Amino acid sequence: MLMLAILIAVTVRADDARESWEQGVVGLVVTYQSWDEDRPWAKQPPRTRTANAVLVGERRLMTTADMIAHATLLQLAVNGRTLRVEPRVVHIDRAINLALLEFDPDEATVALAPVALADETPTSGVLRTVRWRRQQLEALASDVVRFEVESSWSSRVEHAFLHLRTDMTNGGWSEPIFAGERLVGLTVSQSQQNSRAIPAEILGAFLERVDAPGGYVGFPTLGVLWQVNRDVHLARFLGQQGEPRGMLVRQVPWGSSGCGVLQPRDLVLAIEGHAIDAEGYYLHPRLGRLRANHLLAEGYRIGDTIELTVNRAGEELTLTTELRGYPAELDRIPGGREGQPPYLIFGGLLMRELDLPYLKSWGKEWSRNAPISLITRYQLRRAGQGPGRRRTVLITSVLPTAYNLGYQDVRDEVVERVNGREISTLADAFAALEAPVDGFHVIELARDAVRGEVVLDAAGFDAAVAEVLETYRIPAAMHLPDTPLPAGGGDCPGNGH
Amino acid sequence: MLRSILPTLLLLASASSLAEDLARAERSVVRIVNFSQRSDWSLPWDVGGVGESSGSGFVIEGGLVMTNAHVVSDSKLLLLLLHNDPEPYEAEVLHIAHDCDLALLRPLDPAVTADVPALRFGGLPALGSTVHTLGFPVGGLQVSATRGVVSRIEQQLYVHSEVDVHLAVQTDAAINAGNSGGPVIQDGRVVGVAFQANLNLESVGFFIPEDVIERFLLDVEDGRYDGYPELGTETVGLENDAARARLGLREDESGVRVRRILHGSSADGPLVEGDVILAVEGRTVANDGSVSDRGARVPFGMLVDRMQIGDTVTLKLLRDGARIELDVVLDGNPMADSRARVYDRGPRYFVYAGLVFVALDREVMGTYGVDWPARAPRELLHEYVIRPAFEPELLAQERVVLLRRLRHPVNAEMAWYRDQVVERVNGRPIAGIDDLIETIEGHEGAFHVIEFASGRRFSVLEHAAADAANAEILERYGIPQDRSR
Repeated sequence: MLMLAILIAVTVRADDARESWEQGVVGLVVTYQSWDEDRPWAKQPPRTRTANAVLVGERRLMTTADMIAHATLLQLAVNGRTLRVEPRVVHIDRAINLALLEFDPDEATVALAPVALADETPTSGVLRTVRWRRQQLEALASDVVRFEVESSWSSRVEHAFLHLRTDMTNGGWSEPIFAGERLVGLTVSQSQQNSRAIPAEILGAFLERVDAPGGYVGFPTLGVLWQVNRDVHLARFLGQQGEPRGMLVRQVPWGSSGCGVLQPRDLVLAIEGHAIDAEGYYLHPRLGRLRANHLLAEGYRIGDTIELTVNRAGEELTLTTELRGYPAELDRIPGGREGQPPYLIFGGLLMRELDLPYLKSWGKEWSRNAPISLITRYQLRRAGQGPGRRRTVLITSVLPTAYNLGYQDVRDEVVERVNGREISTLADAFAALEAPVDGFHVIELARDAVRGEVVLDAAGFDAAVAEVLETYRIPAAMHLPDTPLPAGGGDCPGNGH
Repeated sequence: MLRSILPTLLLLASASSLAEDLARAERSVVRIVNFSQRSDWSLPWDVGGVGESSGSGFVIEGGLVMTNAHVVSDSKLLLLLLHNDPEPYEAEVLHIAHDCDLALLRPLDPAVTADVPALRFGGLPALGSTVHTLGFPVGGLQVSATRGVVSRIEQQLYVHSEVDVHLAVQTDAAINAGNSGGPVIQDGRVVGVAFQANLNLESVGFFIPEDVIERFLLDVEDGRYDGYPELGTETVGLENDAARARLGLREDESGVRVRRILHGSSADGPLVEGDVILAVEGRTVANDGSVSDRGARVPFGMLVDRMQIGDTVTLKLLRDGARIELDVVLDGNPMADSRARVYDRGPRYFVYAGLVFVALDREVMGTYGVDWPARAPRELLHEYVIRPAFEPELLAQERVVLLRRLRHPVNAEMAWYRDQVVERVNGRPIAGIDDLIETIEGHEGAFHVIEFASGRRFSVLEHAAADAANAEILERYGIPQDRSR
């Protein structure tokens, strides 16, 4: 009986008792269109998702980056009505999955008012998750369950997420969460009644960085592969006396914060004086035991220098390192991609760079159904990254013509060299076209490919491409990335598997 | 007038002779009951329960019984049941060829089959001709005869080994469970041994043709089965004009390019990657890799398939612009141990301090289910399927997997203890179970350091504590032997 009373109290509101946050929550209608991963010159049919956003300034809205991915049109909706307001993206940080939008106010937005952001996320108690559901604003009870340090789907910057047990159904679409009048989180996912939200500490840090003088500086992460150090035998082997503690570094990827400083088999005992235990946790003053990467995400920026206490072969060292973000752009196989897939029609052979969206084109069970050679490369993507090998270039399929006859069965094979040139990006393959070998374009495929090499007649190449475009009605022979890949930095050789 | 009755007479004559043929052949068909025991690769010390299965076979010259290898695999007791004889007779496997799914049995008492007429072999039946299968399929104990036509003659995967491809004849004669090993008869002679069916298609059964049977019988003439020879090349077609032009093939030439040479195979040494095979045994190889054979086109490998280990195959190659003739002495398939299904023996394993190590083979992968390519851990798949392409020497050695851990305080805190391919132990690269045993037992340091193939993972055991706990762990988990024999 008591439970029922509480629920009614939060879901039904009398008009004369409007809470201040009620004017701060808006529906966000996102029309989006993904690219067709198999035919990277074509887009899939447009679709619409309805998400939520929260007013964090007079004309500013915050939502999760996932919600506006591949957007072709953003619209606001209040009281079940779509407004004639088109917000623009001010800043998007995919590494922590947040986006700030801006809109030009008009009569329809007069009633909106910004909400206040809490300084701290409550560690217990009942919060309210709020969303627009058709004409109604819903506010449903959500119990704080715990904080857990995780990374979001598309990025690897780890920070604490607020885990809730919620009365809302089918949530996880960037619903704002309130404690009293204050914003304490934005949801990122929900499974049954368990929802997950980015907490106020991270929301605040994001907003602060957007307006920081000198421009936005992203969230750092240590970026090393590590394992727990709970095995006392292993700890003794590593020269540690007493109870095991610290995170055991297994691998230091190129371009990560640890690159050039940490080594495999180092035990990281403390970060900036915060002791790390055998499970890789430290004690957050308010949120309790959290995995160490949260410390960096909450309190530091890319470019800051931190101090690490490390056990290396029994000796305790103090090391300093400059923090970097998660080197997502440095991954051999990027986890996410905005915009059109880079591709190149190489005499009818369709080349592209391998990324997670392509693997996901094998459907929900992609990790089982995609070719083993691609899946295992994806798994080893961090071991393979380095200044000389930036991306994995594939021939995904062949558009058959008489010119490329004999190669029509080549599918999802990795390209190693074109005309003797090592292929690190798709742009390399394009550049290699300049230098045919004895009148031939010679594509060397990876050792595990069925076919060793593909040889094409260089003289007939341009005409063949034109024929493919005409025959298969393809608008362009290529789409190469507009911006070059960022430099990685750091020198940590021997990071292979 | 004469013309019109002649077909009828012929038909009558043919029907009568057919019935006689079958009745004669029927007397030579036997039912084989196999009591078998098969190890469990996920618990490698477990020898498994006893299974009973039955198949068919037929008596050939010398009182021997021919059947399929899969009918008599993993056998502990074999019984023969002869035509119109209620008495079961014990038999033993004389020769077994898992690579072509054939076996020869011998009754323990030779007198048992002495009076049974031996069936004789015919040749390859013509496409569209009628054949009869004889055997003991499920649903009864009497011999069954079914009729069908030869619908296709082509190389097929032999599913018993899962890796071997040989010539097979497809027929619509019903071939059901229990038919395996039975003779396929045409004109009173055996033209094949029934062995597998395609359950996805209706009425599609396969039998092993005389080509394959003859090679098997020739192979065992010296008293030992040596197996199929394997050239050991992977080739790619040269259908594309530019590909041929770059390699310097003349207009009137055709062939295939050698893509890969299996480490330790017949071709390893005599051939090099990039060679173009122009002809095999004097027959021109087309750009798709086929040669002309008995009025059809077959992959050139089928010519090698008819030979024996130790035979010589003559190749004509294009190498660096020169046309050369090369005789290659044929050897077996160096990969068979780790790629083919394993029969008649248990897994190779070693249990130390509760860590269960097994040799990485097809059976280990099979513990993840029949769809293991989709279900097995990705890292194990990488090691088994992908990495050997980059490091071919890995195919020539036995690789070791830490399959599981039997929990004990000495290993309970290990971070890695499941499905990990072992790369090094105590700093030494590990090339097989025997090597692992030697490395662990010969080690003198305070720790055993086990390094895995993936992600620089490693685990550590304290040497003295591990040694002290070893016997107790074996006892506690009911493991009779710490290693395979």
